[in-house]
Amino acid sequence: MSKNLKEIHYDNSFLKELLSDVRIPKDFGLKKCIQCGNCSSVCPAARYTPYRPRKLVHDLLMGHKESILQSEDIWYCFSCFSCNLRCPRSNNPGLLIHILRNLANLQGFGWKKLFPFKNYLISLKNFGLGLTPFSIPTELFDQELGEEWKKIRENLPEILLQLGMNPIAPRELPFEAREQIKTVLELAGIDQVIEMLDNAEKECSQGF
Amino acid sequence: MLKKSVVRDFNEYLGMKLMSKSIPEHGFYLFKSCFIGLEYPGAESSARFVLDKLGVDYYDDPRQSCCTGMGMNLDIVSPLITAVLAARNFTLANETNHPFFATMCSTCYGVNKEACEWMNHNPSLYEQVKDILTKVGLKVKKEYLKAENVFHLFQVLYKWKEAIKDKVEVDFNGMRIATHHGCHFYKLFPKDTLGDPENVQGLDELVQLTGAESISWYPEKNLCCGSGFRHRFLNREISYAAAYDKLMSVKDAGAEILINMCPMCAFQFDRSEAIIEKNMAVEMGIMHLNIAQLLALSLGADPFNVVGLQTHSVKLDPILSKLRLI
Repeated sequence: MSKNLKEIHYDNSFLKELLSDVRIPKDFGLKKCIQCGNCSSVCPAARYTPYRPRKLVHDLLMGHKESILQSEDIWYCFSCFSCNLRCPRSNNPGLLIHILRNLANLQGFGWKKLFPFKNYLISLKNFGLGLTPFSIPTELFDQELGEEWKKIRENLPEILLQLGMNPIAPRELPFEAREQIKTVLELAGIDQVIEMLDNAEKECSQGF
Repeated sequence: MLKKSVVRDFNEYLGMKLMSKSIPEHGFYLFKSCFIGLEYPGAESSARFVLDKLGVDYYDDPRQSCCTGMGMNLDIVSPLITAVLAARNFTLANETNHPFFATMCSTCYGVNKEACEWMNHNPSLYEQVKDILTKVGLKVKKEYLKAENVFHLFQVLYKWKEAIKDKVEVDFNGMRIATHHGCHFYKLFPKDTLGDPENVQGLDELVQLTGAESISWYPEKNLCCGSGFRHRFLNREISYAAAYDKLMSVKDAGAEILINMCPMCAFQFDRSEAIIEKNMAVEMGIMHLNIAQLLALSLGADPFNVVGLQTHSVKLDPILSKLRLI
């Protein structure tokens, strides 16, 4: 028994990588997790999907890097942060999920889940607004929302005028502001992300 | 005996009255949401209507960019991009002497607060952001980046509660109204919530000003709207499942209207209700309003020229005819 215990090799480089992300607050309680399960009990994803935040944190602390990054489960989170609200040890599985998804992307996983939103970045870069009529992948839910919604969308300029707002939906930033935002975003590396999404999309479509 | 830091102490959440003292009365930078402009522009014009009517000093800056919250939660926007745009908006707000953000969306509120914390805790990120902004001629300062300067518009309206009470023109007496506080408002920074974050009452207190009866608690009050960002587009079954549970709970509590404070929640409830009713063969008949729209209506705004009810999927005609507005 004692011999077996000595043979356990624990690699904490993954945890270190995770905790070095800029989004992790100073007093983050990942290592203080007591597996109480409060997070899983309030998690909407745990109610409707196989994802369980308590298990995720358990697996993280056990150092199961590959299985976590390759799993579907990390893509089920609703990003509602109910886990953060209820956690008694200042841990935040919802935040970990976003960092894990980024790490999964770096290893080549999960790209298919990001393609439909590529236009969001293009819109952000060109208009300074993420959500414009060009950036929502409407083909994903057009049919369900039906004719009435399409009509609202088509009449939006008129409605905006009626409300005393700029008829260019949703609103137009001044030219100088748009140029400034574009430059700032290019310096922050937005083009590289768009290119990565493009390349991964091409690779995936060739694979099928 | 357990250490104090281990046990969750509800006394640490200041009472609502005390908390509202930390909200300033004037000097707000109206932080417009791109989703609101696209789907429910009436909420934005209602916000301006209410703020003007109360005489709140706010600045409506056309240069303000989006907060990138949607992209961040879809995992396509890096923290640096979010931080740099947040810092730009904070700089514009401070340069125009309106340092307090009044956001119209729970996610804008959460993202701006988060971005401040990242930059305050990571000097290297702050330097990177500063370098980028210097190149376009913007001088960001550390004192601009204060998480405590970010407020949701509804907190501003809460501060002006007494003035609203005096100005109510349309009485919602006899109506039962439930509320949904967007998750990113109270779950990301629980200590900054008005009152108890596990049973937020801020919107409910505002609802009572209109003369309506507020349903302060229903079983699924803390459940997410189910949009889950990516799920609304890619995994609609689970998205609808959450919205179904939420709306049924609201219906069972006997509410006619569900008040929201976030465009994503509004989109999820208002646009999906008919689809869910059809899929599950139930009748819900719950109407949806942003808090700014409700207060604008009660302060006498025109339902179509100001409140913009024509962009809603669930029509509010039953309420309007009860109020004799149509």
